[in-house]
Amino acid sequence: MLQTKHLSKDFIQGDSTIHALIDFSFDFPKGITAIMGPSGSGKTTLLNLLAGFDQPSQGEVHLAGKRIDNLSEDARSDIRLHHSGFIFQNWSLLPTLNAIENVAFPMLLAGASKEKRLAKAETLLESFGLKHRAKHKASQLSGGEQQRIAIARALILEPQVLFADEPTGNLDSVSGEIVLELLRQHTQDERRLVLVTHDAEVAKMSDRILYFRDGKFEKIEELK
Amino acid sequence: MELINLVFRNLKSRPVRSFLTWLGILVATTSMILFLSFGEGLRKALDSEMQNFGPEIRIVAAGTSAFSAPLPELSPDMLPQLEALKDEIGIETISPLVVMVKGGGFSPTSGFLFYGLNQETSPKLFLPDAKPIQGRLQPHPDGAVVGFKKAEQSNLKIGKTLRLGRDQEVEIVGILEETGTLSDSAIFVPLTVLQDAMGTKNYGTFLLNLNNNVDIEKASQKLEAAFEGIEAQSMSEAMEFAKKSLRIGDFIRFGISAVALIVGALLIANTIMMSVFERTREFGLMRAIGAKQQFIFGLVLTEALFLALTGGLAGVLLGYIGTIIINIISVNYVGIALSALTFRLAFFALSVALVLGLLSGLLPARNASKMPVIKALGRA
Ligand SMILES: Nc1ncnc2c1ncn2[C@@H]1O[C@H](COP(=O)(O)OP(=O)(O)O)[C@@H](O)[C@H]1O
Ligand SMILES: [Mg+2]
Repeated sequence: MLQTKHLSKDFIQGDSTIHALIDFSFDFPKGITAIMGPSGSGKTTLLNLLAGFDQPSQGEVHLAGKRIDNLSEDARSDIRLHHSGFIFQNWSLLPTLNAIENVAFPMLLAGASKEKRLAKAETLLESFGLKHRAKHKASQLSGGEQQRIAIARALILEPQVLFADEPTGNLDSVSGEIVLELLRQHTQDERRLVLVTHDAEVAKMSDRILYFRDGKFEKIEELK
Repeated sequence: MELINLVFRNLKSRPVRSFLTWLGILVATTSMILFLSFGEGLRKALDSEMQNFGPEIRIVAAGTSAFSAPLPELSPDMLPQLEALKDEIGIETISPLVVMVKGGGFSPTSGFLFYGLNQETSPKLFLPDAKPIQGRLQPHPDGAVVGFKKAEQSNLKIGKTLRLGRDQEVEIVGILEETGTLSDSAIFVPLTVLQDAMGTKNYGTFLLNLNNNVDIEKASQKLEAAFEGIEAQSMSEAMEFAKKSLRIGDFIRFGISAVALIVGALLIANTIMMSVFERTREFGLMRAIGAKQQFIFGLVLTEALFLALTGGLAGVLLGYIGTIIINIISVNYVGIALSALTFRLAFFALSVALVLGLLSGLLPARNASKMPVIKALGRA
């Protein structure tokens, strides 16, 4: 479902080469996998590769039964649309669309009819307790609400993999709790969530923690 | 449809900038319509004058310009002499004429333009389709037949009397149907009455119809050789000259309006470039969610085309209103509709606006769609 093989990423900057990620092989089990490590240890780099935003210098990424690291930009977009969802730290919503349109946007890209899209988005918003915010734009929503809407959007096409890069990094602790609880609720059955965080409290709710340092995978801690 | 909705949302989220760009395209299209509609209007007017004007040659005193009213400087002896040459040159009919402009300078609408016609000549010489809407067609023997526009403007009715000179009066005996040509502003009266009024026995001009297959150029040359101090002007030549200068005018007008259009196109390009730049992260987000490059390309290009199409349509509409206003004014002052918004002009202006929209949207659309998602997200 989600697997890396000898995954490495180098950044060339002038004369020096930064080894941001070094020879990482892992088969992500179902449930929540937290990624921890100090700033600059390669967490975001890894997530970018897993999500198919970027391409590795070496190694492979397999997602939903396909090797994705050598696909074209458009082919990777297609994989993202149908097989994964991403929650960013901030700037998560499309600013010209309101909440319900944001949630429905992946279905628009997938070619669903307007009625179907809005019906499904409304159901999701309702179950997230955000129905009363459906017509609000990002600028009229709190940070916590924005993140919850971003989660609803990531879930609308029912992907098997979710990625989240510090999803609570900009939130107060109460909103953070709500967002984490939502993520936990929706990581069931076969679904996998890869959660980058530097907050030990956040990492505690995961099933396992992978520790990184200087681009190297250090150790795994199984929690459940 | 979804795309249009997204495009519309985006334009609405930056209302002032979108509106100014739209206005730029509107003004550019309107100015092109107005500039070029002059050419179309004049061409239409010329064409109908040309079609309606039968005689191939007009004889005037040397030095009379092609479009001015000829003074009565041709001696009455010329008429029999011309009659004598009829067969040799191949003349079918000879229509002697005097023309008098009274008041209002050269403007046929504020002044009165009289044509003196002899017994054999009918207003049909100028207007083949001429029909009276009231009274009769022929001014002879003692009446005046008034063109439609002149009758309307000066409130001339059947039975009224027109004073031509000190002792010369004619009664209005006919009013002609509207034809849309300069002759709508003319008054046709008997030749001799007008000559009396002008105190002359001379003629102003002879209009000649030639037999079929007679070479107009050769006929003019023969006529100029046969008489001293005259000019035999071929009408088609005069019209050709006018059309040629019209074409030159078209080029100049198109040049000026092209500048306006290029400015309009740069405006769109600039707006779209700026908004693409500002939305880099937004496009990155769309791509991160799963939008393909083509989707972003379409979004940006549609935005440019949407601005160009709506701005262009509004420009054509405003241009149309403009031509109507110009025509109301020009009909009043010069007697012809100077401006015409033909279908082909509207189509041309709209196409130009759209093509410019397309061109100015292509580059930003390409830039926006080709950017790697990792860059657009600001994660690289
Ligand atoms: N686009 C890039 N160009 C050059 N160096 C980069 C780039 N992205 C990340 N890096 C470097 O790679 C290393 C890992 O970065 P990152 O994955 O962002 O770390 P983390 O998310 O754990 O803080 C850092 O040293 C960072 O400076
Ligand atoms: Mg990071």
